[in-house]
Amino acid sequence: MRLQNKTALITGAASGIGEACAELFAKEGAQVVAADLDLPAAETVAERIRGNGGDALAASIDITKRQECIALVEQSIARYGKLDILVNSAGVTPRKAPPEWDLEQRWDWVVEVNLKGSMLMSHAAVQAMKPVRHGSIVNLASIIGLVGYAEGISDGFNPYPHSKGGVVQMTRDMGVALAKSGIRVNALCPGFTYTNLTKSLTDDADMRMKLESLHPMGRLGEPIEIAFAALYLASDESSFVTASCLAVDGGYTAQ
Amino acid sequence: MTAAIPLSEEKKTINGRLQGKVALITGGALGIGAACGELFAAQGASIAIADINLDAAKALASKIEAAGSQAIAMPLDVTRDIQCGNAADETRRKFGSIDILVNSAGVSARNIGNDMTFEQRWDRVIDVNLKGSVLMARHAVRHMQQQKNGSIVNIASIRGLIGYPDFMTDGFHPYPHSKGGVVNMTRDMAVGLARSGIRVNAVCPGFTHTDMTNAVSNDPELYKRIVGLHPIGRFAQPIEIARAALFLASDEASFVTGACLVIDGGFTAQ
Repeated sequence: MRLQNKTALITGAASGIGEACAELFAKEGAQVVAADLDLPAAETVAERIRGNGGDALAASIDITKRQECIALVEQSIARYGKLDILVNSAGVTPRKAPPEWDLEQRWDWVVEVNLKGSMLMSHAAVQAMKPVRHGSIVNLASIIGLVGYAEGISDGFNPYPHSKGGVVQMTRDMGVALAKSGIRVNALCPGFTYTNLTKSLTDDADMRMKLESLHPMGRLGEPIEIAFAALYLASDESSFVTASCLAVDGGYTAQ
Repeated sequence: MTAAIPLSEEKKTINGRLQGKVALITGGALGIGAACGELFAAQGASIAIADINLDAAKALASKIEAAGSQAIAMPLDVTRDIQCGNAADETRRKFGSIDILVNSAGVSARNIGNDMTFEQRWDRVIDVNLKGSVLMARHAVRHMQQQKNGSIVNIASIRGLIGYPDFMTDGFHPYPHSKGGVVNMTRDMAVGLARSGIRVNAVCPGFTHTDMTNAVSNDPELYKRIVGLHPIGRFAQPIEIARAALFLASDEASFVTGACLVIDGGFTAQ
């Protein structure tokens, strides 16, 4: 097993890519802390993992709150004795914002969760990883952290690309700075993937076809396909990979 | 922990990550290519080791067979279209398919004859690194298109993304020119072949301990200076590049195409 005796803390673990990571990592032998804003949904994921013979703990987290991030790392260490892996998968899009919010409220919310939340969670995790000189952080960025939205999807003020571009650059800066501390920091840049985040887009047949056609493979990603890449980056197999951003996008950004 | 897991840790399992796959590896006798061969074999693949150095290819094939996997050795000069065609056909004939191609054959201007002119050296490096990858890929794709599946992994370099540091180049070193070509060839080929079920990706390693970088590693001053450019504070081992190639070659990377995976201990992030 590729994550034998590792402890992995995964935010946004109740659904989508985070959920796929939690299940895959547990199958590969990791002890998983499945953290999510939605605790009952995180419990469901943790129970399923335990039912399949894995080891998982559900936890509640609002990653925009610094004290909660610190407490979550402490809770993980109290339970499993250490923290080897952090997957920053919690994220939002403005499509999920309350309709009454104005531009600035939506922008602040998305940047706070996607960018600041990943930074706060990483900062808390690094405090635990530094003394043992060992750790791997995987940030779920996006191809929309590398390129802007295709025409017709954004008016240029959609905060999602702004936040994910920040995550890409945070990954590089953190990766360089922490390299000599034995902590690796990498990002995945998925193309459009079937999750709750994209459901309102993919339920619209015309939009789905448009999105499919933007991926040379002619289809969108499945969460497990992103989770396999996260597994590679989280494991010691990628011991020389740091500050790297891996596109998992069916060719989207290659054209 | 940022040290490489040694290859000896790789246990041959009955459900390897490349079980039942056939991999053709150019430059397969030494360095990163050889590490790919041994690792892929341990993960269940049958290996065709193609190299300009047939004796070294045969030695590795014997070693892989002794470890309980299937391997064949064949001579290959990747700059010869006919030889690339033969390598692909022979692999298919022997093992029944070509699921994976690793384009690992490569040279640096440091490693070719001193008797060549500037232009001859430039042509030679471009011929092997860039055109050789094109020729080999084209013949592998002939077979992969019939199967409607395949994965090509090109060993590019961080030198395909950025230039050499100023103390290493006069700006006319063909290696970065060739590897930049490999990076963009990867993207174009991936887009062109995506609907055929063939994935094409590249790895971009930082400095790695191989015969190609021996001249650098054996010069203590230069070595120290270049190590200092990698935030991780060391060179890569070939097995660390092979593990990235394994991920890209396997079905685990089913949504990854046209990607250039940087494995450089943070070199290009700063």
